[in-house]
Amino acid sequence: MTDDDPSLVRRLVSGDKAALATAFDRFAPALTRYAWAVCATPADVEHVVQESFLSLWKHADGLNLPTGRLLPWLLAVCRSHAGPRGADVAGGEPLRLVQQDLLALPDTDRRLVELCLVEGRTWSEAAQSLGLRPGGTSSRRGSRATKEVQR
Amino acid sequence: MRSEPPVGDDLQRMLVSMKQNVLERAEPRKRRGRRTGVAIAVVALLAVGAAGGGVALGLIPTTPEAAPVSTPSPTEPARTITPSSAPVLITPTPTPTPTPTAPPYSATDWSTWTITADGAGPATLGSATGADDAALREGLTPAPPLVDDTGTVIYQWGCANPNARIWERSDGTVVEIVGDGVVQTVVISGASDSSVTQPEVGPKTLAGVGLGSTLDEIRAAYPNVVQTRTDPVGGTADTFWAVPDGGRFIVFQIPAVGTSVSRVYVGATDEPAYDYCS
Repeated sequence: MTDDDPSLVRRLVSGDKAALATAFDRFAPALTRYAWAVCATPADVEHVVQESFLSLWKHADGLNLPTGRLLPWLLAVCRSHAGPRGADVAGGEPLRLVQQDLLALPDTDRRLVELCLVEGRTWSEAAQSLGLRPGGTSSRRGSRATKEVQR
Repeated sequence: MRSEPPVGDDLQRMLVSMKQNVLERAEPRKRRGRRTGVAIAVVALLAVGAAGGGVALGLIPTTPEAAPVSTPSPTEPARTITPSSAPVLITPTPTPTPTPTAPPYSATDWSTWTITADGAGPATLGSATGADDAALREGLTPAPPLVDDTGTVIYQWGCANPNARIWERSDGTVVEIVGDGVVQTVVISGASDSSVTQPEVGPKTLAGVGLGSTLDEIRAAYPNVVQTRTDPVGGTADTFWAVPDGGRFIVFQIPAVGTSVSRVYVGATDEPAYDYCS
């Protein structure tokens, strides 16, 4: 059975590198497409995509995934690594290359992505503006507190 | 870039290169906090143990790092001392009022499950440990084990309490807490502890109450509901609302920051453990 995102995060938290490989296989194509739209060179694309997955690895045990899905968080982190270029240096629609990926997401996740990648909100701001609270995988077991990811 | 993104073999080459770079640069991560948490729990439980005997010891996992001592092997299920092992006088107990039969359900669709005093869907109180696994596996995935850097399994279910058998799905969790070889408590949780903004879909009681229900809805469905386990100091600020049912209890947990049910317990106590996973 394929890992769903919460399961994948739990494996990442446990330090399972195979989970990182799985996450990369699952989300890197979408991140690459997004990065292609907002970066100046292919080298920049590679840089921000790689840094995004390293951020996932580094912060796995403190992810704030209010909807439990990883792709919105990864896209927001990707934009963060792209820096000012995340506003789309090409002057076009920054999400134009990931429309199909976004259509597969629930409305709330899609809105999260739009707030972060189009309107430039931080992840926390976007979540709060949608009335979402820290939640997701790490808060479900017992009293383990969910932590905000400070980016 | 104004150019079109790479596709086909060009994209694959790019992805392979990036993936290799990421995996090489991802440093092995130490288990942060977990060991500290366990150590704190050990100290606390040993302190409790001075007064409470060996009951607490069953909750302490034997880690691979632990020095060999004359204890059961790490793979042996933790034992919990319960009154059932002591000689007791068997007294007739009142026959509980028969619970209405739960309607049929689909194991893969937990919104069809009914929460009763017997459990929820395939998660059934009194089942032998593991007996529900096949049915649960149809709609949920076992929580992955926590392993250390050498690949050694530390917690089979990713949880410090070896008696908590955790099953996950994208929108929630089902936990069977076992003791004496049988399921003693079933816990149904939503995807978030703070089901504030969106109603959650999941198992419901015959009265239609479940994840996402408000306290008003609970009270309307169960006028006999009572609040239990208030923890004014040092405990959780969440509230717990218990409905007695045939000698067991269905307990609804509402988070302090929320207004609707985030977790439902079914078991023999009206005061379920808030933190069943440590």
